[in-house]
Amino acid sequence: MRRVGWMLVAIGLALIPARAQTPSVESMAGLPVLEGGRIMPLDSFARLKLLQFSGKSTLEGEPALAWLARLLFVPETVEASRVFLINHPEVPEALGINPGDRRRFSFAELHTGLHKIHQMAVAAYEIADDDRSPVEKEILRLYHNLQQYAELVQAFQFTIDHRDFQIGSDEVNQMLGLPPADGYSFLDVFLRASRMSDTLSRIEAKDSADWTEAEREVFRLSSLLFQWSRHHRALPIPMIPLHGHGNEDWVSPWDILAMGLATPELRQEVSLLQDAVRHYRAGRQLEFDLAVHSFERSVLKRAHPGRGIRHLGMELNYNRLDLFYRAKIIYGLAFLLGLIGIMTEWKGVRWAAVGLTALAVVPHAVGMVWRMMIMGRPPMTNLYATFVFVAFVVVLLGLIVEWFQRNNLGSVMAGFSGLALLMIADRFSTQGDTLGVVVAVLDSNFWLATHVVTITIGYAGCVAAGVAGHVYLLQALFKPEGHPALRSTSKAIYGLLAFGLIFSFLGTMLGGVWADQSWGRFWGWDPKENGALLIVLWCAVLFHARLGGMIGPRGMAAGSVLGVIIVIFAWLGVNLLGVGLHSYGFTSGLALGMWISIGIEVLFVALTAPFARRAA
Amino acid sequence: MTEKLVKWWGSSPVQWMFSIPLTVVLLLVLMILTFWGTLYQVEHGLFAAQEKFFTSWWVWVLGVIPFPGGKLVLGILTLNLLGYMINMLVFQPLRPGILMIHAGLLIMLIGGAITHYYGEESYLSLWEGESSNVANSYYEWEVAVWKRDGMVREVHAIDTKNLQPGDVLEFTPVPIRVQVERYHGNARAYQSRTEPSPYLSSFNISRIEAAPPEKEPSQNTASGVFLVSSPDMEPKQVLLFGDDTAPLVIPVGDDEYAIGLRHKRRPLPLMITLLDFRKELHPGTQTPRSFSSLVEVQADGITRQLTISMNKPLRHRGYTFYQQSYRETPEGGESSTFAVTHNIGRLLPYVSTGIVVLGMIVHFIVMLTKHARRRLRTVAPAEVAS
Repeated sequence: MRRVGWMLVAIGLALIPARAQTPSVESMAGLPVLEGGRIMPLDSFARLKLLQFSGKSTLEGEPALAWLARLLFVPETVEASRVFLINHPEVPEALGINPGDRRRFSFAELHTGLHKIHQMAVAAYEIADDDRSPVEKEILRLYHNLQQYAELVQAFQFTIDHRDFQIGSDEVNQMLGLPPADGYSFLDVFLRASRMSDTLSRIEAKDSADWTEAEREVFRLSSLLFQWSRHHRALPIPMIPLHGHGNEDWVSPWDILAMGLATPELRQEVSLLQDAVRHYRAGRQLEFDLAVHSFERSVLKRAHPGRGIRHLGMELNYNRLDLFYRAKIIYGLAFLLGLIGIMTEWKGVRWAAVGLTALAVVPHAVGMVWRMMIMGRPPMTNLYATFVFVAFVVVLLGLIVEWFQRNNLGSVMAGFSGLALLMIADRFSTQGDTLGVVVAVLDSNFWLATHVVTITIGYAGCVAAGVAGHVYLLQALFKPEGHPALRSTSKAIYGLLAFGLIFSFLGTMLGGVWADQSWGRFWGWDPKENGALLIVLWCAVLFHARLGGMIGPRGMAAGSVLGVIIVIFAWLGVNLLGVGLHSYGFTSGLALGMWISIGIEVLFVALTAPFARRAA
Repeated sequence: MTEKLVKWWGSSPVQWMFSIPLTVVLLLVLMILTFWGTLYQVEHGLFAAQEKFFTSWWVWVLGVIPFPGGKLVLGILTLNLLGYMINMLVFQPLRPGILMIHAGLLIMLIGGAITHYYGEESYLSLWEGESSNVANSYYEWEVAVWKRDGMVREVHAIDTKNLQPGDVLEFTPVPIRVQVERYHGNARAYQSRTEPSPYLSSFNISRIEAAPPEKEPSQNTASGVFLVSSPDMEPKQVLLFGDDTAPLVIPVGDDEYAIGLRHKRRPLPLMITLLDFRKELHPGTQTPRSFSSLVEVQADGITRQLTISMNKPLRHRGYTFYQQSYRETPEGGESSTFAVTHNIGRLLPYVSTGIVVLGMIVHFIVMLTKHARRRLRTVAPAEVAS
């Protein structure tokens, strides 16, 4: 019997996976934290910070959350990770680092230049935003990131044993009730600070020359506690809810400590965080998970069940499933199949392309709906979201074209646009929280849902017409005017452009109505309004020119391709004009991308439109 | 007579005025203006761009070459549109949808013109507890004179627009005569610590210098030197500065009169009191989530309380009050600024949008039935044949 018991234990031990060096941190992915004005899961926070520092969502193959855990709990292990993206080679050079081809640098590399960065940032800060050179902007961005990095390193220091809190006297150890150990953390001593009060009041009356060794130790510890808590103010991460005056505040563990751990729950939660960190550092997976779960349960029990709290799990799944990535891959395949279909005219391929496009729409739509549910807003709150939405509308328009024309034109349009626009959207996800809060003037779901959605559908119609325009101009190189393929593409352009005109016009007017409702004027010639007006005017020019016989189908096609440039200007260029956007180094990259795409479109028209075949 | 009219109407220059190619040209010119005017805003601000490109007849390229301005293009476009509609109504087959769309656009252009010529924009800033029944212009100035006694002031004010040196301002029946020596729409003022000012000035300003207009015209500060005389006072050089916080006092007999240069005031048909300004931030950030003002409104003998917030203005007798901005002092004082507009053409864009949308629907239905009929026609013979 006893033998069987031992065997069971042995089997059980064998089944437990070999202890990893660093435990998995999946259990803390859903912890609620306050960042950028909203409650989000810690997983989103980790992704945001890593994106902000490095422009990527994983670091050397490691998920953002695992990196963040190491940064918080064992900072020394991430010092050599190349996490700081520097967009301008002159910055590392100024710090005495030879950048080579690299754009990412580790904290260890930058560490020696910190003083220099500080000096340069202070100098750059004095310059007005408009007058800063790209190098100065980049230095400020880097400095800001380094500051945040350093703050994150400090965020959990209270849980980690520190030589400041090595206690040399057994007497003090006993007084504090601490088990014998090599070192203690700030929190260990802090939680037992009240036990030192007798001694402290006693030695106040005594001349410091007469203090015993234990008394000296108590004095040292208490002044260290004071110094540490003065030093560690305003640090991240706000992850503990605090109630008072009918409000809920989310504060960081350090702030909770500074407020003196008023309730047993707060005491418990801070201790659980320390337990979790210790188990993590010791590689004890199960204990780590248990501590995290207890902390999570305690926090969720106290937190006001607002939108952020209720949708934590949903956002976590949104992060994990990465639906738009899946959609992108399927769109890519659909595009390829559509191309093959156009060249070979195989029926099976056409159906496969349509099927794949329709399949890709599913994760695309689910992702958008998911975002709307998390935010409680129409999917239109930032540039990232508008790209995702425009991609969706263009894909739907492509499918409609395919429904009518049955010649692969629609699938090629849909697949290409879905892939390309979602890829562009990714560029914008590095700008910050894509699920972030909106400023006061946008705080109107009604207008977001009407004006912004309508105008964005208008953009989508013009983009779709532009894509069809590309197709027409390419086809026209090989087929004479009046060929059925050209005629059907031309019809699609006409319809899509009309669609774009109607929605752009409606969106512009609704924008005027919104402006009249909130600012008291219908129209003010401001850049965003002008951008929308340009689209409307351009579509109107094309239709009237066609009607007046000034251009033919080829002119319509070329015009709709050029229309894409106007959409780009209205959509992005106008934002770039508002100099001093909060996008730092990114803006110049965006501007460059915009100019390149405009150049390509112009070149495309110049190289195709004049060489179309004449009518047979 | 009618024949002549028809002939004139049908003549080629007139028909060219109403032709589609002209429409295309006008739209293209408008596009160029819009694009140019948008880029211009980066350097010179919205107001300057509006003045130069959109509310002007001509844009002077490099100061010498005229390019049609917004007023001219939109004006011709209005005629073009009108002519097109007459053409369609009288001489061409009626296409109701298209006609409605263009009628809507015509109303929109007319509405724009009405707003441009008759619309008024001003602002009203109140600290908590303060009341007012006048709004201030953003960038127009006036020289105002009033008697310094009693609670109710009778103010006489003269607009400073187009003020030229040598102009004389009379404030009948107030016996004060003001002659303009210098006037600047935007100026900087200098005080001297050592020497007394050569001018009569409420803040001892000794010198003003003309400055280029600001990007944001509401930030201009007007200033001027005036020769002021009254029956009891020899002509004296008086310096008025737009930022003076107190007016200058001029004795006339036993009375004291005050004179000041200030943003033009507009009387409002109501008295508005700011009771409380509220601002909400997104938690843990400085991003405002919303702001709103609790106000008390006294009008037509009725007093009521209401809240003005972003996207939720107060409307009263053609005036609209919008929550625009706010100020806070470190001591906790809060002030709220409302944009005040008065525009008799306010509803026209709504009407026109409605007509255009209706026109689109009509046109869509017409096209759909045409399409269906054509299908029937092409299908039917085939059926007969089978």
